Amino acid sequence: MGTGMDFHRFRLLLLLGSLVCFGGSETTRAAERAERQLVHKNAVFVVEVRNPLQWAKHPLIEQDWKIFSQSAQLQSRLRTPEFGRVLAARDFLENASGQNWQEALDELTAGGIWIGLSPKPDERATMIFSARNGDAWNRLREAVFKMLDGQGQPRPAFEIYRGEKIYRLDESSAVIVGPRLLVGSQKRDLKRMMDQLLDDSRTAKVSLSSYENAEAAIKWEINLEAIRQLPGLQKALKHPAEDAGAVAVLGGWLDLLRQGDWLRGEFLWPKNSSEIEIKLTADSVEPGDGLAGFFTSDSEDKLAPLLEPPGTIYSASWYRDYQALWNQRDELLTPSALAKLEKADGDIKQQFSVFGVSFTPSGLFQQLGTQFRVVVARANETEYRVTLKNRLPAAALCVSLPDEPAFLAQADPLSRALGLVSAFGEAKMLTKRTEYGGAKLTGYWFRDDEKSAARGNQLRFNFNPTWTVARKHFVLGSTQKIVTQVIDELDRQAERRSTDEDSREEAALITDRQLFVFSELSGGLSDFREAIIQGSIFDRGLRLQEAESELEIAQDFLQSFGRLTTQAAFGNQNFEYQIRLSPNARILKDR
Amino acid sequence: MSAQQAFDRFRPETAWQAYFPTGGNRWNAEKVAHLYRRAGFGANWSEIQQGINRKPSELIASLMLGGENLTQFADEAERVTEAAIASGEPQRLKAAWLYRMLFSPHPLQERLSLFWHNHFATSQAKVDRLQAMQRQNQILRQYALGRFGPMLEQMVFDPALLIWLDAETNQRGKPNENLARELFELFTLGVGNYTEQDIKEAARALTGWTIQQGQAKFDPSRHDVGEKTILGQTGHWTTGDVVRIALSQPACAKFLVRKLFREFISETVEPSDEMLAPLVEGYRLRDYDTAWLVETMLSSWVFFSPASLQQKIKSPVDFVVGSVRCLEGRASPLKMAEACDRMNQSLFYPPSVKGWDGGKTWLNSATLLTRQNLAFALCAAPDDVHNTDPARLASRYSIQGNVELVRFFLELFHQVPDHPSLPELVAQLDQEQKQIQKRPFTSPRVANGLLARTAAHLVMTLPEMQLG
Repeated sequence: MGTGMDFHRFRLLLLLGSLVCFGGSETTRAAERAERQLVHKNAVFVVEVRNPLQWAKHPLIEQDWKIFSQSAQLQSRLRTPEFGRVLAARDFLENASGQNWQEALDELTAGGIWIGLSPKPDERATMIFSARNGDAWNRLREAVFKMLDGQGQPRPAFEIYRGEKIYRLDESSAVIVGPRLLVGSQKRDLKRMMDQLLDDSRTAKVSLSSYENAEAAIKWEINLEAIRQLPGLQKALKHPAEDAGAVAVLGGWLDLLRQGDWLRGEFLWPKNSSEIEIKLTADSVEPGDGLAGFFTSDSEDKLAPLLEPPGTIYSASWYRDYQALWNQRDELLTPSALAKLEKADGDIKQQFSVFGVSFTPSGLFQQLGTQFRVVVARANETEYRVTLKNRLPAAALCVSLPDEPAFLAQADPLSRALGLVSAFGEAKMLTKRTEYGGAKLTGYWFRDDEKSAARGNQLRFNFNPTWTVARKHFVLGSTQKIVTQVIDELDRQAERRSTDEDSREEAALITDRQLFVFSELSGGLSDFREAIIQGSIFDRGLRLQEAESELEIAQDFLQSFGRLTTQAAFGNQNFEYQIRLSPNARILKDR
Repeated sequence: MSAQQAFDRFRPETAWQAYFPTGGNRWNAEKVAHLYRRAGFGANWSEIQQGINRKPSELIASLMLGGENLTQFADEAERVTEAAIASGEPQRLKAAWLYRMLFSPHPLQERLSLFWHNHFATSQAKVDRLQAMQRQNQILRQYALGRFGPMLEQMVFDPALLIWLDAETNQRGKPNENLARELFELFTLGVGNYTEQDIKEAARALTGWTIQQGQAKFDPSRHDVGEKTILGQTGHWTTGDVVRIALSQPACAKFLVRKLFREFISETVEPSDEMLAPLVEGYRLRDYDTAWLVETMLSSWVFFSPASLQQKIKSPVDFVVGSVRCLEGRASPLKMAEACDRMNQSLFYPPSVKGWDGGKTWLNSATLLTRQNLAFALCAAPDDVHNTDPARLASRYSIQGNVELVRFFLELFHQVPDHPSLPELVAQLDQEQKQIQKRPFTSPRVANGLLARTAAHLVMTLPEMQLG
C-alpha cells in the first residue's frame, strides 16, 4: 500500500462509477439537495442523476431492448470479451453486495449522482455518489481491495485528511465519507467537500424521505455567466457582430446566451406516463432589443401551425422577421461587417443585371413574411417515367408573404434566370408550368426519356424542384407533389383557423415548433431499402438475409419512438425549450 | 524430401488414381483442409471436423457438386451483383465477387471462375464497362466446371474480351493480331506450338467483329472471306473455325493441363510430359471436360502427397477470403477488395494479358506487411468492417487455456497442433495473460477471449500462413 496508482486501477474505479450511473433507486427530490452545495463552486455544468434505474424499467427502453436483442449483430457483440467485462463487473457487484446488481446499484445511488464540471482554463470535475446507508461504499471498497489483493495488484496510494483516506486515482482522487463517494480532479475540492460534510451534520446525512415517489430525472444547470467567459465564445457573442451570417442564422440564440444567467435543463420521465420530456429554461431573458426579429413578441404575427402532409417525417415552424433584422442591421453588425454585407448585396445585384434581371437578396428578404415552415415527407409516387429503387423523401419550404405582387416582382426575374441556367446546364432541365388549386407552379425537371434516364445517378429522379406563390405564401419544394401537398395543407389550416380561435391564443408566445415522426422515418427506410441493404452488405459484410433482418429491426426500433415534438416559447422573463417524446403505444403493446 | 523428389517417386500410371487412406497415409485434418483450400478458399473448424469423418471420395464429390441451395444463392448473388453494377463503382463489382467467394455453397465454382479470369485475363482498366466485365465473369462461372470448348467459343465472342484485345480494329485488309495471338499463346496452345504465319492467318479469320450496344455483332463487310491456312488446315475460315482448329491441336490439352496442375497441385513441382500424359489424354478424350480433370487431380495420390501439400503461395484472394471463412465471421467485401488491391490482386484488373504471375511474386515486403496488418485487424475486437472475432470461435468450440488455444488455431489454420513454435507461442500467451489479468473485471471467460485473439493473430503471422 502507499504506492502509485496505475492506470488500470483508475479505469476500474471509473468503470465502477459509470456502472453506478446506470443504477438507481426510488430516491427523492429536494428543492435544493445538500449535494448541490458540495459540487465545487463556479462549476459551469452541474448534473444531477435521479432514479436512474427507473430508466432501465421504462417501457420504451424495455421494448427497444427486446427489439434489439433480435439482432444477430448485437448478439455477436454481446459475446465479445469487452461485453464480458461488463458482465464481470456486474458479477463482482453482486458478489460484493450480496444483492442482485440492480439492488446493489440502487443501494449505492439512493441519494443520487451529482457531477460538476468546469472546462478550461479551470478544468475541474467533481462527482458525488450518495448511497442509502453509510456502509455501502465502504463494503464495495473492501471488495475492490480484496480483488486487487487477489490479483497481486497494489492498493491505491492515499493521504489521510480529517481521519479519512483520500485515495489517488491517476489524475483524480476519491474519498468515502459516510454514505458518500466523492471523486474529484483536484484534491482541494475533496477536502472542501469533506470539511462541509464533517462540519455540518445536516449536510452529512443523505436525505431520502423527501425524494420518495419522485420521477426519474436527469437535471442539469449551465452557468451562462461562466460560459460567456470562455475564450472561444467571446468572439461569437460579441455584439455588434463581425459575422453577418452568424447573426442571420444564430443571432437570437446567441442573444439568449448573452442575456441569461442559468440555462437549466431536465430530462424527465413523468410518473405514470410513457412519455419522456426534456426541458431547457433560461431565466432573465425576454424577446426585446437584440432578440427582436428572431422570436415572437406581442406583434400581430404569430407562429404558424406545423405542416403535416401525408407521410410527414419532419416538420418545423419558426418565426423570423428578416425585414426587422435588415432594418436593424447597423445595430446588429459592426461597421465593417455592415459594409461587407451591403457590398455583397450590391455585387449580387450587378451580377444579375448581366441577365437583364433586377434582383438583390436584401430586396427578396424584405418581401418575406415572418412565418417560416419546413416539411420533409415520404414521397410515395415518382413523378418521372422511371422506376426508382431508392426513393428519397421530399422537402418543402413555406414562407408567409405580406405582399404577393411585390414578392413576385423580386422572385420572377430570379426564377427566369434559374430556368435559363438549368436549361443550359449539364442536366439540360426542362421548365414546366402547371396549375394546382388556382396556383401557378413552376417546376424544373430532369429529362427522363430512355436515353437520358440511362445516364448518371438515378437518385436525381427524386427531384423536380418546384415553386409557387399561393395563399399568401411562397412555397418551394424538392418535388411538385410536395408543393401541391403544402397548398392542400394551407387550405386545410385556413379552414380550421377560422373555427379554432383558442389555438391562436395558446400559440401566442411560441416561437419555434418542430416535429419528428419516427414511425414515418421508419417507413421511409423502406423507400431507401435497397441502398441501406447494399450498404450493410458491402460496407459491413452482412449476407443479404442478415441485412434485411437488421433493417427490419432498425425499422421496428424507430417505429417505437413514435413522435418527438419540440417547442420554444417565452414566458414571463424566461425562455423555455421543451422536447417531448411520445413513444408509439401500439408498438409497445403489440410487442 | 523436396516436393519435386516426392513427385518424382510417382509413376504416371498410378499417380492420378484415386487416393484412399492407408495406415501410413491417413485421412486427416491436414488433407481435409488442403482439399478445401485448393477446391475452395479454405475450411472452417466444423468443415474440417466433418470432413475427417467422411470418405475422401464422398467429400470430393460433394465439393464438385456444391452444397445446398445453389439456385437460391445464385439469385441472392445476382441481386448483390446487379446493385454493384448499378452503382457504377468497380470496387463494388469486386466486392460482389468476393461476396460469392465468401458465401457460395459451391466454392470450387468460384475458385475455377477466378482461375479462368486469370486465364482469359481481361481488365476493366481498358474495357471500362462493368456490365461487360460481369457478363464475362458469368460465362467463366457457367463453364467453370464445364467443357473448355464451349467456354472458348463464348469467350471469342465476349464483348469485354473483344474490347480488351482490340478486336474491333481487326478488319479485312487491316488485321489486328492481338486476339489471334492470345488465343494461341495464352488461351489454348502456348508458345512454340504455332507460327507467326498461323497468327496472321487466324487474325484474318477473326475479322468482322464490332461491339454495338454492349453486344458483339458480326459485320460481314469487315470480314476477310478469303482462304486461310491455320495450323496446317486450309479453308475460308471464320472465328468458329479458329476455335475448332485450336482445340483439335494436341498441344491444347497439354497446355491447359499444365496450367491446371499449377493451380490445383503445385507451383513448385515441374511435371514431365510423361507424368501429365494420362491427364492430357483423358482431358482430350473427354472433350476438354474440366470437371473430370479437376476431380481427377483433387482425388489423386499426388494431390494428397508432399508434392502438393503446402506447395502453393496463397494469392491475396485466397489469404483474405480464406481467413474470413476460417474465422467464421463477417468482413466488409469492399475492405477485402481494397486489401486485395494493396496486395496486387485487383479483381477484374489483371495486370496484363498474361494475368497475375502468382507464386512468389505475391510476396514482397509491402504485401507481406499488408497481410500481417490484415491478420491483426481480423483478430482484433469487432468493429464496423470486421466481425471475425477469434474469441467467439474459442467460445463456440469451448477452447480454454493457453496451450489449447494455440493448438486450436494451429490446427485450424495449419493443421499442425504440435507445431514447433507451439512452446514459444504459448509462452507469449502466458506473458500476455499476466498483463490481461491486471485489468479490472477480467473474468476467466474474458481473459480466454482476449487470449484467443492473440493466439489467432500469432498463428496467422507464422510463415506457413502464406502457404496454401
